[in-house]
Amino acid sequence: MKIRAIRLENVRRFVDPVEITGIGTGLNVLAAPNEQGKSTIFDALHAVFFKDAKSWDKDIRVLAPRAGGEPRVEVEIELDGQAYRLTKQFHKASGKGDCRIWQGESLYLQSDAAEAWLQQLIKSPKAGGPAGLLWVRQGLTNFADAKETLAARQDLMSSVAGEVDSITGGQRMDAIRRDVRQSLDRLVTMRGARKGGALDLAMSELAALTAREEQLSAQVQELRCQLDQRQDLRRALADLQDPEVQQALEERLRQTQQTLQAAESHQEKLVTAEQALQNATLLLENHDSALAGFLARRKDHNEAELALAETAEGLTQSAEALEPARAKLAEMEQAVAKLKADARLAEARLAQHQRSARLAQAAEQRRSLQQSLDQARDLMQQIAGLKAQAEQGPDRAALQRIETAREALSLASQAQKLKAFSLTVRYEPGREGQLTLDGIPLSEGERIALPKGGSLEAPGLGRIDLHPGEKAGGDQLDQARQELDQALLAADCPDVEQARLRHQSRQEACIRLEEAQVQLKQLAPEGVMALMQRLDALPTEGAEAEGPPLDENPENLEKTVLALRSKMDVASVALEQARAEEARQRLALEGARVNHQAALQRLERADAALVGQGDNTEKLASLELRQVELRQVLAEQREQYQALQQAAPDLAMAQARAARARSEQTATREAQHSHQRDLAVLDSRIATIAGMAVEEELAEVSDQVIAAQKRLASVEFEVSVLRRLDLALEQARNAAQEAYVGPVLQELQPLLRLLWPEARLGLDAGRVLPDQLTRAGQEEAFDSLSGGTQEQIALLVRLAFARLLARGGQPAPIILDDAIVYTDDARIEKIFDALTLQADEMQILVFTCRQKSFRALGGTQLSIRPATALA
Amino acid sequence: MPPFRFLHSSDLHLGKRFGQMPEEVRADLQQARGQVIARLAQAAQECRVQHVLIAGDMFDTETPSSRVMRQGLAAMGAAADLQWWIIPGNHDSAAAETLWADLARHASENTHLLMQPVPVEMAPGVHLLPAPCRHRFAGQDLTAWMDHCETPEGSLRIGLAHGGVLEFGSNEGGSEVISPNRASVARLDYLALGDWHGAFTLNPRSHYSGTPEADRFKHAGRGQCLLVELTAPGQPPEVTPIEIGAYHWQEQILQLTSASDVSAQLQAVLPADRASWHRHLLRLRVEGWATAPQRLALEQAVAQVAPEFCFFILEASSLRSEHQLSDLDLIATNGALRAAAEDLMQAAEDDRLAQGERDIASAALNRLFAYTQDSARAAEDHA
Repeated sequence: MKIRAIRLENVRRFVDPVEITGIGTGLNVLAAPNEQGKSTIFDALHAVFFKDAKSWDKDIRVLAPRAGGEPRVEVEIELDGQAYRLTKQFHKASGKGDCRIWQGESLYLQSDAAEAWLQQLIKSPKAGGPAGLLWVRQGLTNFADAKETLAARQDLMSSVAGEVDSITGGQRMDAIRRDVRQSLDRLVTMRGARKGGALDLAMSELAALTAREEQLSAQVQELRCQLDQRQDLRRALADLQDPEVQQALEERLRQTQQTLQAAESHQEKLVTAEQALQNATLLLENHDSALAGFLARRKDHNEAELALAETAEGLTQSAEALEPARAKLAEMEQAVAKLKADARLAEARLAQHQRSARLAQAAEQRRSLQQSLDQARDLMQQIAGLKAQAEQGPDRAALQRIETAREALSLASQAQKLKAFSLTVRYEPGREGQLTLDGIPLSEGERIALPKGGSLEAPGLGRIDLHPGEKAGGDQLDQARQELDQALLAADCPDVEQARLRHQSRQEACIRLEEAQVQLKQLAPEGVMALMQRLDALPTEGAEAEGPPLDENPENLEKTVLALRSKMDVASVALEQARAEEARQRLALEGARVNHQAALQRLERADAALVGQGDNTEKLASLELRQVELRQVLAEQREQYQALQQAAPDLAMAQARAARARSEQTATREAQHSHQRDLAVLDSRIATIAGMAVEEELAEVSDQVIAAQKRLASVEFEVSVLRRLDLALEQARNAAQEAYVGPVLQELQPLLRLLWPEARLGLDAGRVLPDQLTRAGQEEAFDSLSGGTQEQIALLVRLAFARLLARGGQPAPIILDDAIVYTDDARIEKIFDALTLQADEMQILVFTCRQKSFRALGGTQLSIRPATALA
Repeated sequence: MPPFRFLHSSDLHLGKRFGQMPEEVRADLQQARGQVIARLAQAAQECRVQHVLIAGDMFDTETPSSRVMRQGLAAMGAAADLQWWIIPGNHDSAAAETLWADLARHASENTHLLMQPVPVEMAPGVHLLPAPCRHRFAGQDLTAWMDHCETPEGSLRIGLAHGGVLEFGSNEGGSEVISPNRASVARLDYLALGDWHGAFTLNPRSHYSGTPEADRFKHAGRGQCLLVELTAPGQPPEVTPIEIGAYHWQEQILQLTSASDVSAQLQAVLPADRASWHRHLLRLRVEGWATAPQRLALEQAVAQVAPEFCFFILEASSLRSEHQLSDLDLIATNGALRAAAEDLMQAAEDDRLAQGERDIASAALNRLFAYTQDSARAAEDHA
């Protein structure tokens, strides 16, 4: 959209119509002194685009001239190549204002449709666009007034702020959100209801009332239960107190008591009869016992007398049997003593004979042993000599070394002979043997080695000294000779032949030594010492047998001894038998004596038991008669008892019935008392609870619970509403910020660099307003910037917004009403650059009172001129 | 025989505490209820009758406080020239032995507690046939016995009962409800009924007196009793309602559209006599559709008048919000506030959302409207 002309009538000082025409594309400047109506034009333009023609609010009212009249504004615009004329006639009377849009001379739209078209033109509210964004109001009326200056400065910023606010909701949004948050905060916290808040109070009240209702409900329930219980108890008590029931109980008790008494009386008789029967039985048993005792004592006396006679006879027989046993014992003792003496004598003689034989045998052994010992000693001496011989001369290994050295020497010698300087003589015939070597004549053709040189004499010729020069194999020969010498020296032999002889002697001595050792082993297998010990162990040669040598045959002597010993053994057995028999007879006699003594004592006791019994026969008769009487009495008692027993009633049953009847009566009485007690208690409780009017209170509290539930629901709804509103506001603000902060900064940056290369502007994320400027690495709070810098930034922010709109396909004119008042001349050039730069893409209308300064801005120069009355 | 005149009342519900009401209202209503016997006595004296029939539910519960019980008895005793004839109702049934025993112990001679369904000669030639409620839930028609109850020929027969009757338009009723033709079948000259809190004429001889002191919005107006005059057996009774209630209960419905003048409509339903508003309990039920400005206007108008009433409650749960773009313009024509308002309006009108969510969104939008109007007003005041 581009504005082409503006006309006003009845707008403040312009009661008569005025116009500005010829507004071009790009930069347009209306430079005029103060009080010429620039701001009026600005406000009128604002009203056309942003005020409903039907409104008559403060903004419109201030447009009306003081003298009265209704403002009329007309604007010509160009849109997508088409020319339109907008007219707005404001009217004091509500709803009478009019808006029209003309296309050429034709009425294109009017009234609400025209307003809607205008809304769409400046920016669809639905798109959240910055409708009033392109307007920067006049900020300065009086440079001299510091207060006004400050106000102007604030106004410039507030202008930006106000328009940014329209995006983000701004301070209104902040205030509403603050109110919403505060309201919510009074009700809830992050964790739930705020303590002491309306929600908390409503919840607490409901909880308390519900608890009270439950309590009262329980009390009412209890009361009803108690009333029911009381009714039941009264009914039960009435049943218990029924006279017929009571009479029946009494009658049953009386009858059971009578039956019980009769049964008990019979039981007493039965017990008496039983006791009498037991007494009779006891008497008879006692009597039977006494009779049996008497008969037993008589029998015992007779048996004691018989036993005494038997023991007296036994005593006599035992005394008679003892004598022959004693005689036999004495006889046997004598016989054994004699046999013992004979045997001792024979044994002594046999022993003497045996000792003599052992001595003779020992002498023979001694001789044999001595002989062996002597031979052994000889052998030992031989062995010592042979051992010395066997160690003389080289052993097999030494001889082997000597032989090896000898062979090495022989080989070395032969080798030397072959290598050594030698000479062979060939005599001229006839001159054989004339040559001598070291005085020895040399034979014809013999090769003579001269390892050490020599002296050759040729008689008649002189002497030739032969020098061997370099040794040829002399070292090996010397070494072989040295080794042979060493081997011989080790074997302590002068030469090889001697070594062989001595080795031969050594071998022979060894053979003889082995033979001698074998012989010695045969003579003394356990050694010579053992032989000597055995010899020492034998009786000395001087010992002799005791007594004279016996001529008896030792075999006969042994037979005699054995025979005597055998007889003595037989006699000893017989002696022991005799002794046992004698002892047995003595014991039998002693037993017979004891038995007799016991029989005497028993008879004495039997006599004593029968003392005082009078005539035994009479006594027995008396006892037997008494027994018959007692049996008769017992039979009678038994008969009586059985008769009573058969006639006895069932006492246990009678007792049970009587007890049951008594128990029933007692239970009835107790139940009555219990019911009466319970009734009294219940009456008291019922009276207490009823007196508290719990049902009334329950009804009241139940009503209160309902009211509290409503209140709580209301507060909860309030919380939900506040939260929903808060959410909607937050989301809308976030969306607005997201939609504008980034793009605005992007558009702003190139403009900023026109003034301050490398500068960056920070926008407050919450309010989308400048909050700091970074220049040369220094961060400066926006509020601390100079007034000029602030207004420059404000202007650039505005231009950035405008550019944003233009890029969005909705280019809108930028209208600046004395927007740059603090900017110095140097900086203003850069601002002009920025404006010129922007003017390439959009239309900019600059209203200014700084005619001189703004001359440099260039662009189309505008002026306010009278116009004809508006149609 | 001169005409026999008496007052018929029921459902005094002495001791009722009105728990759902705010504290100060509760106290007023309780006090008025406590004075209802005195007002009945006054009405009887003014009407020159000697008998007052109470058709049940004299007390609100079976265990009223001693204070309530004794003050009620004392008020009856104080009207010594009157005879009070009382039956237990379902709220204070005869099963409440303690209550009725205490009443019998403390009642004055002019107070007759009718605990058995036997005829009582309340005046020469006038027989009262009571049907006391034995239990909270009767389980049978307690007036059935009256059909076969004989009284001396030529005497007036008055039935006194408490309970519901067959519903109109229904052919069947439970066995516990009172037969609507009981009066004619039992040859009653008048059947005095209780239980229904509003006055109701069942047939020319059978009437519900309603409560003498109203206690709910269901029955509009003030409480009343009936003055009954019986001229002769078989003759139709002459029944005259006498308004004696202290408080006027009323529910008004305000049907709104987006074009309604809320304030004017409200004024139209308010009681004419403004001086009597302190004796009025008004429930204003608002239905239909309202815009945010209308809603705000309604709330402000109600806030203006409500304090003058004994009790005033605005029930707007059935009032739906109608959101218009022009209302949204009043919030903001553009920017984030506008976006928030549109988000809420969209949610409020989104029939895919649960009604609860829509209601919340709608209320939030109304609240946003109120906030913006407050801030606008504050800005104007500041300016």
